[in-house]
Amino acid sequence: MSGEIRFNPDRMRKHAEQLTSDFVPKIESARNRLNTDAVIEGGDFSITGNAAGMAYPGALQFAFQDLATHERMLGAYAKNIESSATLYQAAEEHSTARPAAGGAGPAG
Amino acid sequence: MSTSLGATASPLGAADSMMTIAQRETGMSMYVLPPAMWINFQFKLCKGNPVTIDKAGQAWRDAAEQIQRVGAQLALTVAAIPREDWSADDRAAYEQEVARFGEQLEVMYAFCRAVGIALTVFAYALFAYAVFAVAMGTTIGVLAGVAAAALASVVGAELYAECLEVSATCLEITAGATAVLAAAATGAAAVFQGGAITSAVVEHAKGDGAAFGDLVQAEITGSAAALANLAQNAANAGLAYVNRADDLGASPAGTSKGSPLKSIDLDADRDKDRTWNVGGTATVKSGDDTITAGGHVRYGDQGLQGIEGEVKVMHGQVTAGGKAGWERSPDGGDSVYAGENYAYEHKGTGAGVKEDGEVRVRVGGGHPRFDSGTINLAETYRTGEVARESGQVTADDQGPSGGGRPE
Repeated sequence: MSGEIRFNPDRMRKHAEQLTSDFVPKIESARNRLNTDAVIEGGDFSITGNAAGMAYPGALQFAFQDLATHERMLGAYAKNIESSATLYQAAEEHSTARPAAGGAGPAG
Repeated sequence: MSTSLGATASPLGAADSMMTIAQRETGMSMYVLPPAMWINFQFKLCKGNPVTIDKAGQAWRDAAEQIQRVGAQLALTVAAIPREDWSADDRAAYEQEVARFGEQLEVMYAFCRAVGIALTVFAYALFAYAVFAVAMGTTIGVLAGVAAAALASVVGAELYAECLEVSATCLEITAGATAVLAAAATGAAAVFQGGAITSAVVEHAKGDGAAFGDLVQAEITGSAAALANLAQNAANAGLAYVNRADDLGASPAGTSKGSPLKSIDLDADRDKDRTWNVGGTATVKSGDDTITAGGHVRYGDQGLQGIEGEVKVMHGQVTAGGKAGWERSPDGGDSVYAGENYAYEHKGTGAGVKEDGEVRVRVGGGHPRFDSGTINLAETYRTGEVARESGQVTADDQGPSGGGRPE
């Protein structure tokens, strides 16, 4: 099987780190943007506009929930990539333990 | 510049004082002309807070942009991981997952943007109502002056009766305008509710198993029991829209005979620039009123290019209508507009009123800028116009040269 597996655990971990420390806050900032200005009272729609005032909270909560779900998804990706990196690393350490005669000794 | 500058430049802030003036005018008049009390009452019902609503609209549109950027950036970041640093089956699977993630965010982007636009459009519907209210309040105020003079004079009884009749007409007209605002709210509600449900359906189709859960959670968190009926209607509308290709041409099932829904008309056309024009119109007969409401969306290569909602109410001799929309010009400038019109003719005397107005605001670049406003008011008798007043304001005479006017 030619499917060559190449990996750099540090690089993978760096990506996982980006997901949680870079991308999650970006989604959170969209949620914050809504939280700051988009939380409006039913009365702002006027009494005549009650239909809109009643439906609005559902839309807002949906956005909050859905974006939170996507934050959790990113967290899960990060975790999976990290464990994958750990797995690869462990596999490599086992297989590289073999050529002990290498050059680790104090030659010359 | 600073946000407070943008807020003051917006004409929406004027709505509050206009409504106050209208209420004061009708409030004083109601001692002389009883129908003015009901007009005043309706003004109270229709006073909202367009500034806050428009600000919320901006927040949704900002959030939409941020969400869209996340999807695109994530795909780029993943693609940027060198093959020699990670190439294995799990990377391919992850890349697929990221693509689905991006598609879901794209749906969310569309939803947030639609809500943002609906909010701003509704804010301007409130504003248009305030413009109408001031015109109506002034009319009533003048009328009350005449009526008061008539009451005070010996020969005034007949004139007073006439004033009273006209004020009753004004009340009917106001009821029409209020119906238009209510219809605009229903339209916005359909976007909020139907949009959330449609987004959940589409996201689910794109692999987000949690989308329905989010929706249910959102309903639990954000709604009261009264919402249930509305949600159901909106869900049916949203789902019917999503599944519209399933039974193309078939009549909508479950339309009971006694339904007030008299006709529905849906269309989807694509023009030469590959811009879709999708929309529908429904006519509802409720009591003595015939209400026609419709909405259209234009969608092309550059994304969403326009949304328009239109309502017409016919009640006896009164016809009142309104439309509101958002459009994007080819150069990318966004503007929202709201217009209303009403006409009344008294069958017996032939006396009537005709009025129409439109307000246009540019919303590009974050801060809404007043573009133009027109109002035409005419008194009619039988077929002709007796008197006519028109007004037009454009943004051209205001503001420093900073604005991005094309050409």
